[in-house]
Amino acid sequence: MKLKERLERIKVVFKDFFTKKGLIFFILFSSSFFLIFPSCSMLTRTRTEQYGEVIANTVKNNTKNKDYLSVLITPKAEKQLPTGFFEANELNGIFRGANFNFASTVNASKQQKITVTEFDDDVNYSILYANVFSNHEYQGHYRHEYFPLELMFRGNHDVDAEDYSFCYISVTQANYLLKIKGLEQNENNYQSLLRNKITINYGDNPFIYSIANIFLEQNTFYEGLISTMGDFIMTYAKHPSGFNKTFNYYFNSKPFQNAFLIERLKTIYDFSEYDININSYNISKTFDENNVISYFYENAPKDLNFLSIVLMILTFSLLASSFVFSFFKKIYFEPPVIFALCLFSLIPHLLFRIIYSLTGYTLFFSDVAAVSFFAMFLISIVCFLLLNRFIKRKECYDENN
Amino acid sequence: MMRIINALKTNNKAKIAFRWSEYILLFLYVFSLPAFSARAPWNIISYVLMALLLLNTILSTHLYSSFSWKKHFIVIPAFVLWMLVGTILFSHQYRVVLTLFLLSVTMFTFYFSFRFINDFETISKIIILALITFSLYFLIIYWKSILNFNSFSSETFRLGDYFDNVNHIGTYYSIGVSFSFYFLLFAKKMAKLYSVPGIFFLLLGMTTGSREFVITTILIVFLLLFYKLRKKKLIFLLTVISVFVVAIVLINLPFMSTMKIRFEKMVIALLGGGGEGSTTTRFLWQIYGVVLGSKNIIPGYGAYGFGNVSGVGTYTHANYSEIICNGGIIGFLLFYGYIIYIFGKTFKSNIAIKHLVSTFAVAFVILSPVSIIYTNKETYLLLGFMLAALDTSFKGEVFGTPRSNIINNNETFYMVKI
Repeated sequence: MKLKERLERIKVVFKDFFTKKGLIFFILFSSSFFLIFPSCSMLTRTRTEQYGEVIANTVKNNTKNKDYLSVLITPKAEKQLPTGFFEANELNGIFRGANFNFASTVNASKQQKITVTEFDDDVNYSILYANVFSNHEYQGHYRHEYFPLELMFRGNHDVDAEDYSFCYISVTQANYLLKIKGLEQNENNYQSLLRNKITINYGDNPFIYSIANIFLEQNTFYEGLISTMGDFIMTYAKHPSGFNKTFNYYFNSKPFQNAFLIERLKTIYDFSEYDININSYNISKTFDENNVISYFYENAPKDLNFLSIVLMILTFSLLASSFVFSFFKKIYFEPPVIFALCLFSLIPHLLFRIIYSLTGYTLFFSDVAAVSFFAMFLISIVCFLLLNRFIKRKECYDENN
Repeated sequence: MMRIINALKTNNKAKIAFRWSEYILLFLYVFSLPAFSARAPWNIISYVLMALLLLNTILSTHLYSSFSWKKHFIVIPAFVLWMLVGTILFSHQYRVVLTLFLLSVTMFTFYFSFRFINDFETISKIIILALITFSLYFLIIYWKSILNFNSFSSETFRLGDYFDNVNHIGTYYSIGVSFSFYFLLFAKKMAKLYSVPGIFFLLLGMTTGSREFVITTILIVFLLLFYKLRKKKLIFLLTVISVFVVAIVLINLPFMSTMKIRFEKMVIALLGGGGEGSTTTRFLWQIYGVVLGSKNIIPGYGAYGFGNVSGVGTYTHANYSEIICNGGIIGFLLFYGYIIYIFGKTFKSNIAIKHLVSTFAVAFVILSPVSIIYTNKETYLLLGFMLAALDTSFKGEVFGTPRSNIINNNETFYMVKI
């Protein structure tokens, strides 16, 4: 068919479409695509995404390495934190690439003083604390029972009567001890360090620890800990009073991951019983911390959530009614019309995306709305094809009869 | 040059030589896919065989057949091109786009090769034989592990990573099981013997510990049984129950311990019990991929876009989610539209193997949430096979159609002769 004839044909097709029934279909169809974005704006999930975005921007603009923001969860008076075993297992590798979402610590913010006598430095150590029953072996490597830290040995957790507990030291710390003893860095000498004693000073109070293992300094988890709390040593989950455990959760520059973590925290913690604070260790530029943590203390406005759901149902109903209408009115969609309708339905997506880019508000362009839009778009294409097929068959049937 | 070409065209010996070259190269290439293609530097063997097969197919088709243009040829190249657009804009993972391009060339090579051979029995024999040869190679490498019965109870007893990702090896075995089982159900007389290697493939597939292998195999067996027995509902029901009982018995055997543990964990995780990081994490990544793709709905994020943008550092482990994220709505419609087109075409087709073709199409869709298929070589092998089957109507006396005559091969259904 020549180009001129094609264009004439397309003109006729569109002219046929823009009749009264075509216009009614068009209004119902297009309004559903425009409404989906505002209708999802009041969902609780959308607000969570907004805060996820705020945290992601904070990580990018206000942290030293632009990778992580550490928040500390501490119980209010009288409440004890669990060991962190379950949480570490649940979150380990949940977003594989980062693999750094949670750690249980003491003195992560360096506001107290913990030193090690034998290391002869002025370093204020944080402690990564963990109960350990049995570390994993995998193809000749050893891995901590639930933190994704690689270890040199399986670990011997026996302690003597005078020991307060056992600890794991890093390879660098082990090398220092070997250097003091005049020993070379080889596996036998590292092994000889096990059951050696070191003194960890909590404030001015010394406590004897037995070295049970050596952890390697070579993966994302280790680097994340170093960047968010500096030098650390690992000990059994037993500490003198006054040195409280905290649960550290690590946000990053990915809004979706942050939203996941925010939802998790709001689900498992009652923030009337817990405090949440930002670990300032890797903050490079001050910011209003309330922007980040205030959401955790808010209760979800259930009415708005409900309203949003009602609006979403209405939006899907509009889309459904447009196709039901076209079915009963026997509107046949020529391919150029389908193409034009699909193109037109992308306009709200583009429009709200621009608004989101300009304002930075996820409310206008939430994950839920985007996924719903995608689903509606696909459903529309399927409906167009099925309707056309049905109408064509019916017409053939009617002609034959 | 023209004289040589004309001489070759009329020379029966040359025709036979080209045909047998096609068989041998196809056999070698299909063997090399699981055996060498994922192992550097041996993957060069695979590339060389691919090049030789392509050359032989072009020559054979030019001399003894003809190329004909079909409208659907544009779809996969369009898909690759669309991925390139997203890659240029976002991910810059050009190597993955190159892989997709080579895979599309592979698909067309298989397509024209299968069309040239034009005999389902021969094609199936070649594929089954190639997989048997690979299985022997597999046994040579892993015979100690297989004979070491103590290792069966280990959770990490998964064989195949010497060659490739164990799930890919499992997929090759499920293809072998599919062809074998098809012969068992639909072939006549002695041709049913081609189903015997299926037991071999089934057992070795189990040693990979791949849940995808088990799901794919069960799905394909179920679908083929459905096609065979759908008019005899009671027999179908009894057969399905029997297969289910056999599966329960099998999975409780010692050598199936790894598989059993992995399935138990998967079921517990799916029922909300948690603890199986692999399953719950993958589900989360699927949602993540869909969210990212929905927000960048037109271009997607290009090849390997999810791995780049998400922070996860790997693919979503679900094909539909990966394509939505990487190719946007256009990429999704192109890829899945093509599969649905193939499925739809089987309804209008009278070819003897339409049930196998539609089974593969359904399997692609159902397996989309549990594996990545759009970057797998075996996917394009099957796509080439399915399209050639639909466009050519493979001959094969085992299903009641005349055997293709090598000497007097009159191929009259082509539209354009080069």
